Amino acid sequence: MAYRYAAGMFILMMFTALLTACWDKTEMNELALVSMVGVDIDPDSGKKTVYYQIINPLSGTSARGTPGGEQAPVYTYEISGSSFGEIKSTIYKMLPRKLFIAHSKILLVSRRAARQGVRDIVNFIEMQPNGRSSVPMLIIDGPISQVMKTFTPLERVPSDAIDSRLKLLIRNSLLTGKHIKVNDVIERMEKSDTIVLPMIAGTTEKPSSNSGETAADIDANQNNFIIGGGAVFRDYRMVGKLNDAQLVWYHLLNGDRGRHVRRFQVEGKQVSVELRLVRMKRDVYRQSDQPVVRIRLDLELSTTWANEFVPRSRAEVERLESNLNRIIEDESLAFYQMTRERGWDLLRIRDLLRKQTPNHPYIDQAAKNAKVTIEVATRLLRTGSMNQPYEGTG
Amino acid sequence: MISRFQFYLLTINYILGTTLFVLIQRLVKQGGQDAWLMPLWAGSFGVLVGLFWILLLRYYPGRSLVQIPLDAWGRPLGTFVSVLYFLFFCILAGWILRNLSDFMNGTIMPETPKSVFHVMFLLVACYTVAQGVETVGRLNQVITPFLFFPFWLVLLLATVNWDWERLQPVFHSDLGAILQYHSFLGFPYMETIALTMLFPLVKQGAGRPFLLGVLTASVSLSMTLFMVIGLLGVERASRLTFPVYTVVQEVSIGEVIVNIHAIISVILLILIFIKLLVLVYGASETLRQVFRPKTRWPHFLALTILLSAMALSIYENPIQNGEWDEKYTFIYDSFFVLLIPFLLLVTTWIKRTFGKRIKRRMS
Amino acid sequence: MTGRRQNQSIRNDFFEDIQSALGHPPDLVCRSLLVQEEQAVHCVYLESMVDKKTIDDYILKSFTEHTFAEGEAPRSAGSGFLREVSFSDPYEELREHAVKALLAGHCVLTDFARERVCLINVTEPKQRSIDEPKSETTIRGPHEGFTESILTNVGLVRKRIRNPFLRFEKMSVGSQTGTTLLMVYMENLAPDSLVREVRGRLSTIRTDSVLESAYVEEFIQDRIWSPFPTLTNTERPDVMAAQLLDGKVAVMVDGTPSVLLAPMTFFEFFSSPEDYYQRADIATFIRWIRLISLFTAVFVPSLYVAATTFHQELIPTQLLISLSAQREGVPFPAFFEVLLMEVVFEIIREAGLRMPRAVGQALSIVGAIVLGQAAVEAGLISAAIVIVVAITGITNFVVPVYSFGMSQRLLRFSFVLLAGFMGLFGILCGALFLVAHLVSLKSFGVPYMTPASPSKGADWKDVLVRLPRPWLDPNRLPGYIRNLKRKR
Repeated sequence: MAYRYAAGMFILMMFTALLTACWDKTEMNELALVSMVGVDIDPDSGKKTVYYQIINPLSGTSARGTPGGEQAPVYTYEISGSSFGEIKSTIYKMLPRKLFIAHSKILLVSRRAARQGVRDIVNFIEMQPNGRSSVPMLIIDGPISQVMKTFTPLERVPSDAIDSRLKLLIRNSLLTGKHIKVNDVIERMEKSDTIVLPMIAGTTEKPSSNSGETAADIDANQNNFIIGGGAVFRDYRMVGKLNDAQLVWYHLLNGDRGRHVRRFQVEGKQVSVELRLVRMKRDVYRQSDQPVVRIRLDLELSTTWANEFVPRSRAEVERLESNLNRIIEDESLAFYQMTRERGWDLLRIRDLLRKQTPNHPYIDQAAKNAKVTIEVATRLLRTGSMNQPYEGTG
Repeated sequence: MISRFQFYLLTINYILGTTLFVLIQRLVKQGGQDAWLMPLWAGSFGVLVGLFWILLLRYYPGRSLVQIPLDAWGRPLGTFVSVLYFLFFCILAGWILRNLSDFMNGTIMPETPKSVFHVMFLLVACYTVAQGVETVGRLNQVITPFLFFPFWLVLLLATVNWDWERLQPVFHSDLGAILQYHSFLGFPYMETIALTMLFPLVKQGAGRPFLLGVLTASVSLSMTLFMVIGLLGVERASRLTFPVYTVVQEVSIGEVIVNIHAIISVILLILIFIKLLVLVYGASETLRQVFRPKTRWPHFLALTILLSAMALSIYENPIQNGEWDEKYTFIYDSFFVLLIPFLLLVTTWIKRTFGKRIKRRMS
Repeated sequence: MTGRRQNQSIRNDFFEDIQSALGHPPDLVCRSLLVQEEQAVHCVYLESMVDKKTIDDYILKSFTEHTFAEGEAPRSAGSGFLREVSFSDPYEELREHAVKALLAGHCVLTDFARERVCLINVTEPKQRSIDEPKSETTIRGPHEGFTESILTNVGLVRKRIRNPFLRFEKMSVGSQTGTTLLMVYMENLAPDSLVREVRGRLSTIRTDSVLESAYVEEFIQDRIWSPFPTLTNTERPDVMAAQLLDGKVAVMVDGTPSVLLAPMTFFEFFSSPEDYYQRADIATFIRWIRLISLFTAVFVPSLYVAATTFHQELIPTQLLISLSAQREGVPFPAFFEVLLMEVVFEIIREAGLRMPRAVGQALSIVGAIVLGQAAVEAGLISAAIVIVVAITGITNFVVPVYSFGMSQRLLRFSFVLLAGFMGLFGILCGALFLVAHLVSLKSFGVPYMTPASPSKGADWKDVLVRLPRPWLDPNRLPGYIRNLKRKR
């Protein structure tokens, strides 16, 4: 019996030790909820600067039902140091709450940092305990502090604004693809592939730092930022830029499935059609000891937005389709030639060859010399709510 | 007494135990995109080893692994060997406890001292083991559906990030490297020797459920590896500390299903707990069978203290752990798993043949 | 002459002794009648326990009208009505019999002509009428409930099971109270081993008093240190009949309407008798609701604490923002808030049981407004806590068996404590401990977690779903009962 008491006491004492076990306890109002991270590296000094955009919880709908009104929805903290690890410690010189990055949605990298190389940055993101690397990474065209200090209309939190814009762009255009996340960057770079990330730029020289002012201004284009263009990355380094027209071909040839509307010149007439990739097939065959990459694209056409011309008969449809096939083939081949000239493997031919012919001795060389043929098959599958546009009497 | 089905489930969960989050990364590193083949051949090795033990245990029906040395080699030497086994179980238990606290510190609770995790788990494990083997078997049986379904459901949800290309080219990794990775045989397959402590307690024979369990666990491991590679790619899976955790962390479907990685951490923790249960059972049962104490609870208390201390000091950092695992696990485990049972088997054979002869002569 | 004197002395001493043995109670009545000159008949009874009408109509009338004929006893309505003790018995025994009989509500009749004492049962138990049990109400189904009188209760059960195999075994426990216990079972359905086990446990009860079946429960339950009941109790005869027909054993205690039933498994606490009075699909749905509400009641407060103070990454961003906005300026940690509100809730609940009905309204206003809204607006607690406490409070009442609901409350508090110290890890440890406890628990030899473990596929038919009756074997017993029978 005495033993029992002793054991009971011992276990109780162990429990008292557990009573102090609140090491990881953090109340929610002790957290700084990071919504967006911006990274800049000064190429001359190598000084790293990190911008944390922190949500002000009181600005949203609060418990008492009244929005915080005059308060800014986010606050941007800027901190620099000689390495990212150091920043983790020195941030508390300014930040009164515990940094909480698990909910950050967007990673922004300045253009000059991207030119220099983003390897440190992605490692920093991937290594953070609790951080996710499945956040989109965007490159800032222009000074970083401007974008980091811009309030967005409608979506009050800038990271939400960027996030939903990206989602809409992925669905409704070919200007942005799905593979723009930090983990995609890592994966592609580790396979010595290329990747294109969206770029973002401020629309005004001097953004307003007052959210009230932004909210009161009718012109949403003022004090905003705009997503456009793509930054080409190879080996963790930004090597060039694509414009919006080139981005369409890049995403189409990489299998993205947004519904993109574009105007084509078909037999002297202008026509706007909506394109959507249905299926893409890439295979390799050998022709006189040289690998030939054949890319076949099946596209779905829609004349929903074709206000200029809607084909009337089957013959017209077929003519439109075959014309478009040719135009798209030509333009995408031209795009490929352009990338080849610049030495970018944007069609990821090297990766394809590596998978199809893993034992190839000179894979880099082969990828460079590979012949690429593109076949396009478009099919008109949808028409809009009008089967003929109004043409007037003239 | 536990049923065959309970023992089957116990075997699976025991093998998956720490493997799912300690080993995945190393396996991918070794095997590349074909790493999912590794559990298959390692599993067949596990079955072979299992057959070997079953052969030994057949000679001693109703006796557990630590009682056999007592029978075969007599009290002094037998006790010595049994104590060795006791220490082996303790070391394994300390190991997985440390894996557990590393995981917790590395993912969701970075600042909590490691001992807290160890002591909490050990207290619960000792309570369970003290209730007897039926409780262990039933606990596992009740919990398994809550492990199986959420785990695969979560992985299925993660397939939004699936990419077949990550698995290509198939069968082009260095098969030699795959076969050479012997530590995978040691951990987890050779560690299943702790389960032999339960063999005499399984109704209608433990051999078949054990072998089936090893096979099922290998297939599950293989499928998990397959999914991890398809979801993360070789490059990331071989560098991240806890790939399974990361896979789930990156799942986001709409606005609702985000951050479901808590599910996976809970599953992993429960799996470790089950492995710990078997090891604590093995250790305490060894003490009971060899020394026959009158009261048992002081031993549980002592085990708690011993194991929590062992877990703290078993290695200083995961890098040491990795190196040990790669270089010495197989040899170290072989001593307990292959050598001693082999010697026992030889002694038994000799005894049998000579015993028969002597008997024949006597008659 | 001498005989008469002796009778006289017996008479005087006898009544003196009875009076002093009972301590001169005010309700002791002694009526004397002169029958055949001096041969007086004395009728003694406790006024508070007997039916005076019976005494007047049958007993006294029979003396006054025809007197006792040779060998004729007063006519009675049933057996056990009359017992005779002769004067020739030892005096001590005579007195003891008389006192016992008086306390049981008999009337003691001394008949000097025949030199005997008649003990006549004229009990009129003071009891309320049969009405609906308050704690176990049902929409559809019988509305009768047990009363405090064991005989009435037996009648209620017999009314439902007209079967000769229905067995009642009588026992008496409590050295001071001498309470009657009835062990009830179906001889053809209940496994012998179970009946023997219950009988054995009942016979080991050593106590001075039994005022309610809970006294008995504490003696015969499997484990003292467990928050879970291993026996259930009911006030409804239809529930008891259903359980008896499942081969279980019931223990009825005189003086209380609640009847004990054993063995019980974990999942049986989620099936209410009402399930069988409803369509099968609806009953299945409601069973799931009950299971979910068990988990809600036990885990929601602790998960809230764990998620908001340890694992904020688990909360969706928008929710996290609004939760943290609510927390701005709240002085206490979330853990303390939850604990505070849960304790307050339990206090209100306990007060609700005790308070006079007239102030109920006032209390509910105080509870709802002052402790909910006002506390939030005063910045004492955050609004989400009120929701959490309300949800757990409501879900707690969903489980059909009240005693099982009580155990949920205990568990809830311990899980909140664990979550406050260790977050999810604490909850996990607690849950594992709980499962280990549950699977090791047994109720009269039946594993508590049947059919989850040890698993029996066929038994799931009536656990998570309720299959329609026509699909079930009409002679089916629960699997564990069948197991027990087979083991014999």
